Amino acid sequence: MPTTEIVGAWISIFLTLCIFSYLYDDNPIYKLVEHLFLGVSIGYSVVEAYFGAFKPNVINKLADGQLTPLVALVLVLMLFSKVIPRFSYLARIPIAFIVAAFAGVKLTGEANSNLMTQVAQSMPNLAAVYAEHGLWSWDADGAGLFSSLFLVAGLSACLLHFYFSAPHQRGMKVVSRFGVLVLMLSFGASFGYTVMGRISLCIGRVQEMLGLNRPIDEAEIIQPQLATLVSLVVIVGSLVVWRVQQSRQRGAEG
Amino acid sequence: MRRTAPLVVTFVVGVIMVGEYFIPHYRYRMITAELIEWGLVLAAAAFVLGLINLVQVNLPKVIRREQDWAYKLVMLIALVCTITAGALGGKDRLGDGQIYKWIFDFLFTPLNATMFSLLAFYIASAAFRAFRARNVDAALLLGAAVVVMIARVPIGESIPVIGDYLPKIMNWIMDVPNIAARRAIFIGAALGAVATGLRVILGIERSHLGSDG
Repeated sequence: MPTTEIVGAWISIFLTLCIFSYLYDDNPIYKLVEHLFLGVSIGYSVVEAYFGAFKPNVINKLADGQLTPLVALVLVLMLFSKVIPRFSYLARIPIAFIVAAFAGVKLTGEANSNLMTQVAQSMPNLAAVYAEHGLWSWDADGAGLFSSLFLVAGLSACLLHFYFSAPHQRGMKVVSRFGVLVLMLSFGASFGYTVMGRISLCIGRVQEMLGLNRPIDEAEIIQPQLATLVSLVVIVGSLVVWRVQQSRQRGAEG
Repeated sequence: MRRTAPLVVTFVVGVIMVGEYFIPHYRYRMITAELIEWGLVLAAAAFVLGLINLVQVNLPKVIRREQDWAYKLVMLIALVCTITAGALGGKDRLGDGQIYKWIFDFLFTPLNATMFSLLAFYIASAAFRAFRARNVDAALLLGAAVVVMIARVPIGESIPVIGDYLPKIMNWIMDVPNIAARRAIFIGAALGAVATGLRVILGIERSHLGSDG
């Protein structure tokens, strides 16, 4: 295994614990690593934007003798005029271009995929569902006539809950209330799902710190548990020094 | 001219892009594909513009040694190192032994995962304080969240009597009420996107052109 990978594994463990130090308090170690992450992620975005969009669509095409990318290049130059206040009004044209292009794509795309398709998929073939699952089937996670009708009724109720052109009275009030209950079930489920996603990420980081996500021979070379212990000692020591300095400063001020 | 030209560009480009849906001819598709490519190039250039702005804001603070200048210096150094590594690596930047790949594997990926995993503690803490079954709505929210969380861990299945049913109930919640509510939200959002798109193309919505647009 190359030394760079061993050093990298130690550094990533150290940085992981630096981020987790935020759970104690907003401290200088966390801030330092936070800014390191910012710098790296912005740099990564810029590099990938260049190699993913600018190079293939402008540089490579110009090298092939195509002239249409020159228009894109002119638009880019106009966009950069935003840096010079005197000419910053020129940047409105590329901004207008990009907003209009994606508004046009979204207008038809959203109407097609999120409106027509979602509506079409929401009306199940009730006879086929009843023939396959009956009213309710535990074996198919509750699929059946009841669930299909609940889906249609829930969707309609949620949509009617956000319909404000008619007052929410009598029948409309009941439907709207059912819509709220369906929304609550959905928000609760989404919350639980998100929490479990974050927790599994956290478990992944802990597994790396303990070397459980690597083959045994790799873990023996890298010694992630030792890296975790050394990092912990360094970070805890630094936090103690920082706290002592802070209390001294407060004492001097007070 | 300063106000009219951007509005004309917005209208012409918007109408051409919408036209693709109604004119499914390959020559027309070639025009819209070219326009989308220009849009992607502009989006990439916007990253560079953001980068210039970031340096313009932070570099003077580092030079003048203002508050937190050391953190900003670390950010700028990390930024320059990542871009340099990417530029030196070229198209092989993500190949074995490249510095850019090392930065991606041992800095970006673990820091990104840790930042998101940090939210687990705060979400759990916020839920502990905020989730109280005061009424039916709150009880449903709490119940659905608890069922989904417990059913996704092995201990959920070992609970007597209900253990076998928990994953099935979770799947039902995810597949039926959750889908119903999400579809309603998607349909509402799609209607909003269509309305906003039309407003932008027709020049009624001008906020993207600045305060005096």
